[in-house]
Amino acid sequence: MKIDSIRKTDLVVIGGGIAGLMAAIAASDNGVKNITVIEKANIKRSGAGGGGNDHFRCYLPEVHGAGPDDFIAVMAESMNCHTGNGQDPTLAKLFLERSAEVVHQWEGWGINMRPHGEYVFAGHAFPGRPRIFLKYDGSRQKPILARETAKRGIEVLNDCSSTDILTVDGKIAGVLVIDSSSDEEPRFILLQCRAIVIATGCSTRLYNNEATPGWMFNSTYPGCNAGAMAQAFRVGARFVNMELPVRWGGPKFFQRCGKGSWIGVLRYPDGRPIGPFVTKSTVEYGDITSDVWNSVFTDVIHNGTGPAYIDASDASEEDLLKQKEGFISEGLSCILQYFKDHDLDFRHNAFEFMQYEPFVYGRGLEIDTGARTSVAGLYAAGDTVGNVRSGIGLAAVYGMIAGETAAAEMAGFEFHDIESHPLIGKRLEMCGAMLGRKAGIPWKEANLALQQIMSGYVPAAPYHVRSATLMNAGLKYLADLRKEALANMGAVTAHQLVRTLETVDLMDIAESLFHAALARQESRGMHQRSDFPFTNPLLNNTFINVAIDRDGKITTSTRERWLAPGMPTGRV
Amino acid sequence: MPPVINNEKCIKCGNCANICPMRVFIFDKKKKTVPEPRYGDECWHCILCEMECPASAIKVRLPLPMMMPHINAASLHSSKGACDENR
Repeated sequence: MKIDSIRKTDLVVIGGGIAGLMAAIAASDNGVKNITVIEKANIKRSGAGGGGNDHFRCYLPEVHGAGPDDFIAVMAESMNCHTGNGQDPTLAKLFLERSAEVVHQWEGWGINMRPHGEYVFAGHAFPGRPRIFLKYDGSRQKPILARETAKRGIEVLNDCSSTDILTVDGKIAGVLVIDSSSDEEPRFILLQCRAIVIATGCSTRLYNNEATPGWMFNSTYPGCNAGAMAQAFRVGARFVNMELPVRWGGPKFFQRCGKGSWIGVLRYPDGRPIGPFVTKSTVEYGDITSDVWNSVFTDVIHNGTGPAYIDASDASEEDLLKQKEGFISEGLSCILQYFKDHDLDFRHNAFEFMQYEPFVYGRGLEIDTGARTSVAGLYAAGDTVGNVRSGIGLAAVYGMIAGETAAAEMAGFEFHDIESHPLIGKRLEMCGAMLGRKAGIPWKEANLALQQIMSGYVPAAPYHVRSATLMNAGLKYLADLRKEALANMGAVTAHQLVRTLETVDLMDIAESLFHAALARQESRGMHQRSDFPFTNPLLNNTFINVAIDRDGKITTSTRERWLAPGMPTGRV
Repeated sequence: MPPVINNEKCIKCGNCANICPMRVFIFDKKKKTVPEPRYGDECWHCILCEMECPASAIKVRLPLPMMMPHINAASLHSSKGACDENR
């Protein structure tokens, strides 16, 4: 294996989803001349927002009111909503403060932020409380952001994945890239750069698939998994909140997020509403029960009172039309198509919901209010960030911030000689060995084995516990798996080689998660420890960090949350 | 299941291969043959390829394990309850 081309660019953005494109655009608008976006698929439709989105958490003064109390009211809802926990209030506050800017910017670019004529906030909402999710039509958001990227002359390398971040004396120096545009012949590109933004999204494929065991790609956003997040970890970037599991819910068996796009009342089989929030379907609120009672769909199966059904049969025709439009905006046309093919209808059918397996979303790289990670010159934004989260809205806002900060600080970063960087030879040798093993172990075997270890030894609640003995056993099995996988995994095509390397990256994520979970010596949320069975109030504002030290050893530490004076704090 | 391409309808533009977020298709840009869904088991059934095919030549079928279990909604509002109504 050899390097096929060497290129020089100021800023590399790894991941061309919402956060990545917003970072590239903002960096360009703030004066960075040479920017390269690396995208595993194609920026037109890649990432968690590739198909669309229909709700964008934000604070709009023209709707919510422009006074300090109005902002605090939105902040309070934001910190306590279904994606509110595990955030640093300083970062969450900045996100909301700058969210209107992005809403207006997107509108200017042609993304329809008010499909109903005026700004409408609905869904994931409590009756009688401020609403924080703007209903919009994101079905064309990626093609539009791709167009804005092209307008600025930003270089985009589609079909390209990073394998490693290269540092020289702890400073950002480059990225090693696999170009898999030819499936028969993977090519390697060495990008020499001064700074990097990581925007590779959430991480799926870590746990056994809860909906369809063995079908790894029937998951939340299977296009995303923590490639560059692991690569950042390997060069010393600090993770946070890895031990706090995230599980989402939605239609049974067909994993699809976007619960907020469904209207209808969650009901027991005898028709009783499960929660107290709504008794009639309404597009205004949806049914927020499962945001509050996160394990409801699993609980009603375990206690035998289920299944739980979402029932919109009593909705008005107007609300049903809005729901249908919301599905299309959200990228859920696949569900509408299934209904059409199977003669199903929201008016006549109720659908069972379930809780999906854990994934790493809004857990991972720790950033500050400038989107800086703990490594100088390395920035991060979007779902790969561990201390602030809000899906597409957050990706857009912190992507913009990452691009702005990188532009402002670029003058302080230099180019370094990387052609003889030792990691390059090591990685090329590993890839060559994998491609040489024509009858080697396929990546899927290793990935499924990894999932078994994660689900078996560091599972998420409900009905599963973690303990030091279980997790130490899991770490031992993970080390065994890694050793055997690295020695025997084989790939025939470029596509398979990329998946194989992703699996290796997932093992790094897995290991960091085990260490963080061992370090949180209490039970909290879906992190339930049989050896520390209660939630310790003294840890209410404590975050767990995990990082690799200079000797290559994984270490954990704790820190207090970064509270914002006078602002609601939410919960860890 | 792998997306199914109707060879007669396909105009060999490669758009499906280009936009697929899972990189399921292989398309030879030089030879311009019908795209091959080589990694069909990695399809996540978003149907973007089906929706954006200019020739309506693609159909994505949801595999049986992903069937969305449902009931007759009227049963939730009947005194008999869901189980009896749907039996």
